[in-house]
Amino acid sequence: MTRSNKRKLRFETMGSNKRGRYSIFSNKRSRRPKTSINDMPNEILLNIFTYLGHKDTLKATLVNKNWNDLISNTKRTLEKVNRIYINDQHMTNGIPNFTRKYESIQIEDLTEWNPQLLKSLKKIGTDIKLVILDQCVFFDDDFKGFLECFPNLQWLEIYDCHPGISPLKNQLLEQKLRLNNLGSLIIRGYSWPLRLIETPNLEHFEANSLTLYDQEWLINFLNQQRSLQSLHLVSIFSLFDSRFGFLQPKFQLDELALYDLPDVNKNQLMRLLVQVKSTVRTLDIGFDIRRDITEYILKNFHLTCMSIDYSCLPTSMRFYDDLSPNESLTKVSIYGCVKKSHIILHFLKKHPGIKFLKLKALSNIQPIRFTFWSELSKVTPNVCCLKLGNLETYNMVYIKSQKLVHLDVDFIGHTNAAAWIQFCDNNPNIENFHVFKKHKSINSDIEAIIFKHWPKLKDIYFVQDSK
Amino acid sequence: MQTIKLQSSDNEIFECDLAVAKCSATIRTMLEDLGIDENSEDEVVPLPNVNSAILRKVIQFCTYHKDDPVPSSTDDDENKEKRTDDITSWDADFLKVDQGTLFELILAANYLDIRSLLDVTCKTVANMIKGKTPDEIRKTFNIKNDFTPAEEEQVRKENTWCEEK
Repeated sequence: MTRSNKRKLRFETMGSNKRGRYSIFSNKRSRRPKTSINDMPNEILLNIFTYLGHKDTLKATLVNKNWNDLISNTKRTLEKVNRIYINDQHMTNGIPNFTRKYESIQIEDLTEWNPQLLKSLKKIGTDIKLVILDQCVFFDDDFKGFLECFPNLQWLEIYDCHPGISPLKNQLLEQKLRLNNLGSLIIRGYSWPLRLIETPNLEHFEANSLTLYDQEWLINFLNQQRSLQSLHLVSIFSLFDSRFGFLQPKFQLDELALYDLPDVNKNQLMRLLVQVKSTVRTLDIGFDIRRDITEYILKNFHLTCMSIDYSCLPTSMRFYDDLSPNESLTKVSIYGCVKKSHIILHFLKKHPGIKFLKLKALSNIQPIRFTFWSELSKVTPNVCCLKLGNLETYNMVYIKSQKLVHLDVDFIGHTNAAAWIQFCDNNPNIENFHVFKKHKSINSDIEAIIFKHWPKLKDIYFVQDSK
Repeated sequence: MQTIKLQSSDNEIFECDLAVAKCSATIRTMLEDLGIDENSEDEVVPLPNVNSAILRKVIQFCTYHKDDPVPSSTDDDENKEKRTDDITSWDADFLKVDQGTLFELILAANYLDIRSLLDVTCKTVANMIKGKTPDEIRKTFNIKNDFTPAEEEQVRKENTWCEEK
């Protein structure tokens, strides 16, 4: 300790000697004011600001005029603070006066559409691309007046917004608000806005949790669409009930999601499927969809990407026997509660082109069903990316593929060294191995096996241990 | 090992490895553009914007980092909030300096175009800003508040509309 102190002391003396030698310079330097943050060119300040998050960026605007101007006028920093949040409580602070450019607005629980507020919004409205409305209430002309503030709106999301006490009955129906730039619309809960707007260029539409009686507007709205490419119909009871109109789709879709649609009108749904069968490439089909619907889709669609709940998979052996193989399907995700695991194998067998296979949220594939695991690699010879819910001794020893490069597992459970050696040797070309949770038995010995037996491993990560 | 001579603004001459000097994109282009022959011993590269104290630090930084892999040059994901908690302990120790030196290092890194030094110094300043109130930021960096009370109030009010509940 004393020695190091000594050494330090000597060093300092040397330093002071040196300073003494260049005393002319050092005096000069000390008279010059120190370089400070005020001497930084704006490009440097901006570089520093890019490391700040939302809150700190906002606080930085209050430091001085230059910082405020820089942040408010530069796209890179403005992007962190370009969303306005308005809710009931906020409105007690008075009407905002906006000076910056904003790209999106999120409004929650607002029931009164003060003309002064609309005036304020109109001032910045041309830059607004995205509007999110959550649990707001609109009366009469409110909605139209509000949307008119944003002539360049591209994305609109409306969640559970009520039409107030005077339902929008007769008024305004002849004159719809035309949203020429709107490309994406999500609507959940109430569908009344659908009857007030015209969307000639809409590409993505999602209807979620609409009530039965809102379906008239939904069907009419769908019949008007010409440019739709992606349609998501989610959690709607008795969808396309024929009491509310006749579906006549005129759009071609690239992407379709049908999810949680109990008691859907089959004839009307078939009309939609027939219309889009040659163009849809991506399909997400979830529970409460009849199996004969999936049968039609598997026979007639040219899918490349599919996500399916087990309950929608056809169960008849005969269907699979007659189904001609489809090589174009490359990405598949199967989830849900499995009753007969061999159904999955029959489905996979008819799609030999699958490269990305996700079997994550599957339950009920019992350890005893080792035939499932021993057959899986055989029926999916081209899979290079496999995502599994769990990896344990009973399934890992059966996974065998030369092509498997990427393996992603939610949880590694009970395993042993012998199983790991077999597993690693059976799948020698693994490059990426991601695990989100692992059993504590995965110790350094197992890790050593992994590194030794997977020479091509580039990327490995384990997220956390579990007991 | 090839070396090169660098001359600071106060005319001190530093001899350092060519590989170290080439961490600076500015020096790299200078050598290429001016056609300074790497073999000629007498050639001295003048760096009129960097004083000797700072140049010494810069050379120290580049010597330590000369074998680092070159980071992907394209601005990766500009929208994403960049991390500031990934400063290595060597860099953190290296940057335990007074503010004057820190900002001079930033200016030098900017002039010499040494991306890794610029990044780590800017991160360090960002960490000094983070979590502070506007007033604390002004005190930390000796910044004058040139807002009129009315202007400040307007910015403050506008900010409340940008905050999530």
